[in-house]
Amino acid sequence: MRKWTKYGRKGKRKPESKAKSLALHFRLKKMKIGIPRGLLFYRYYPLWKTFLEELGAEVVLSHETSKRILNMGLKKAADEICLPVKVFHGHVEDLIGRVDYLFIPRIISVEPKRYTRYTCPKFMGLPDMIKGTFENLPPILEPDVNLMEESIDTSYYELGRKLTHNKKKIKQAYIKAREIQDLYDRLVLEGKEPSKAINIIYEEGSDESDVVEKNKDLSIVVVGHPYILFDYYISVDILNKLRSLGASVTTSFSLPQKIIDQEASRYQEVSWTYEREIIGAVSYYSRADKADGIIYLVSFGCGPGSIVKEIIVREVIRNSKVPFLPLVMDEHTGEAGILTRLESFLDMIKMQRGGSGGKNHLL
Amino acid sequence: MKIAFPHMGNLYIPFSALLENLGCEVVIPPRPTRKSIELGVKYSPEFVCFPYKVNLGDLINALEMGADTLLSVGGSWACRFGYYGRLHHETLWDLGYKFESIIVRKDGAKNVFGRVKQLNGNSTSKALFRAVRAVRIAWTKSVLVDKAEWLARRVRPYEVKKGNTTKALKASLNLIHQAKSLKELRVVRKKIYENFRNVEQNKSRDILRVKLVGETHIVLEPFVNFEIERRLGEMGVYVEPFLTIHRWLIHPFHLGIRGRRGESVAKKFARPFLAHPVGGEEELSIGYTVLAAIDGYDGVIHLHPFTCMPENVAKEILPRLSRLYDIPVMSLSIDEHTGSAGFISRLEAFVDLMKQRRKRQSNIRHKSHLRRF
Repeated sequence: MRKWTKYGRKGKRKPESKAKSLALHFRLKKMKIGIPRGLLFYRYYPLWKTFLEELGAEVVLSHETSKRILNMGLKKAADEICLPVKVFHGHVEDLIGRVDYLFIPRIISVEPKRYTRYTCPKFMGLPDMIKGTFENLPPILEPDVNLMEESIDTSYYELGRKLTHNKKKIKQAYIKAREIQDLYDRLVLEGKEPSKAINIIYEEGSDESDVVEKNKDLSIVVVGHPYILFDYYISVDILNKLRSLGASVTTSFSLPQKIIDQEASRYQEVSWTYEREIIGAVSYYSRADKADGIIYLVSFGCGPGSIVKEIIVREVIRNSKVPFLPLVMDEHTGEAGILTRLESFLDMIKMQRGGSGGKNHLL
Repeated sequence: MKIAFPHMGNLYIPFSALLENLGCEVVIPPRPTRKSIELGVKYSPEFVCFPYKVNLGDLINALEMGADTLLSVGGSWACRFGYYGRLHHETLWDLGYKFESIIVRKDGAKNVFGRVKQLNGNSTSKALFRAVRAVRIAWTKSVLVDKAEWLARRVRPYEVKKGNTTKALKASLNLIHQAKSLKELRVVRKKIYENFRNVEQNKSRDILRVKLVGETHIVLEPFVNFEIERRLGEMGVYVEPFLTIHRWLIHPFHLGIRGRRGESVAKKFARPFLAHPVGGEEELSIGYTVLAAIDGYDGVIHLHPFTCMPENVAKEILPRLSRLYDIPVMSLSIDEHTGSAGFISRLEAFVDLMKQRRKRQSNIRHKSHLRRF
């Protein structure tokens, strides 16, 4: 039935019934689609936003994480799940009532089958979890992204079919969305923080002069998931805190994929894509002369995190002389406690060096 | 070669038989205790799941008893279980223990057979002969363990004197563990039935039925789940876990439960609530909860370790099922800090709730579903 074989294997899934799709289409007079500002938002937001907007929808973003959002999330989510997922529940609650649809993709695997790598189990069940917890929920747009079984184009084609019937339009929207996403990825690789990169892309805002951190003698690398690192509320703004303490900060997202792959393949296989990136980054920076210290931010209750932390300690940084500080964040993390630990970590590095000159050749 | 592996319920009976018949010497560590768990917690990452800590404690005990080879399964899927062997063994090496590590992976059948051949003087025919015999004995033993546990579950709610069933079960398991050949096992089979027939029963009792779902290790290991089967059984509740040791053992070979209440049926029932399996037992947890509601069970108890990823996904979906199918569901998370008193009082409260509910419904629908032993 489907002729557009370029976008996925033929006859793999039954296409959506025409009536359902059309009904949606007619209601699509500037339909409001809400995207919660949490979890994979920090990786794929430009792709999602551009794609949905190109198809005629209006994208509504939840507010930035605050105490109010965290509290809403804590009330709704299971009590022992990791902090970012709790915060995600808060963002969903924040959007309810303001939007016609929620956009929560089910991201199962982002690498082809030969690698057998998955994302975190919580991403695979995210829409189902949200549906289980909330009762007054608007309908959810939940495209499956499973590169182990189908191409990424198929996922977006099927999502597009729910919004419009114009196949050409879907294709064009997808191509444009990909372009914007590539631009975003490039900006992040250059060292821009996601919020800044999004500003540059969509608001055409002038590139706020990035302070060139040249006169700082400590280079600290912060690794972790983007939804912890760049969520200023969860991470208690650790990046800026480090900067104000006189360290130049790099995140693991300014490492090209090629290097990460190369580094991670030196160890036994890990089946979580995003955790493998962390192992690769730590391995890269733990070699001599790459960084003065590595900080690993992990949220309490992060399943893969608990294993990866152990792998890093037991395998990756075993013979390295670079100091490594794992910081576990949860909803009770106080700012003062984190600040004290950062200060003592930096002091320790300075003492270890005994006042020798700094390394500024980080990027 | 003194080989050891972690405990999980009565897994040690069929598994030690398998390894012994392959030509290894098996070291069985004592069942998990408070002390061994504390030992495991000491050397584990802080928020790793509970079975990891329990198993590490078991392995330390085994090494202290003189084991020189540790056996584990490994693999890469989304659940943390696949990394247990790798990290346990690294941790133990770092602690200064000296041992050889065997991690069986999905692609490792050839490797394992190579080891068996080595143990049997490099003769393929001899190794093959012993392997077949070992598998037959282990299979029979696991079937018998399954049978004994099943009988205990059926008899316990009706027993007149508390504790008699548990005694019969213990005696039966001992018999199975000590039997050496298939011939002996045939006798043991008859004795098991006899043991349970000797337990005095009061069949006029009206009992509740509860389904146990959740994470494999927590559901199957009695020390970790505070002997939930025995405790509920003595309160007059028939408890059926969604998985047994036998089913867990044959699961990798796709021989799991078939038929009307098989795993594939459960998975089908889970599909509307969980569109894609997450990597653990969450699909079965959800599916069997739905099936329990359809089969007229009085309640579902969901056991899972603290911060277990797949079961946490299930935990958020279960309240919705409970509302939709009108069945009480209690989710209990367990870790080293869980106290038995609090746990038991929650169980008692849940049993009271189910009793009230049964009274309120006041129909005989449930009774007609009871298949008595």
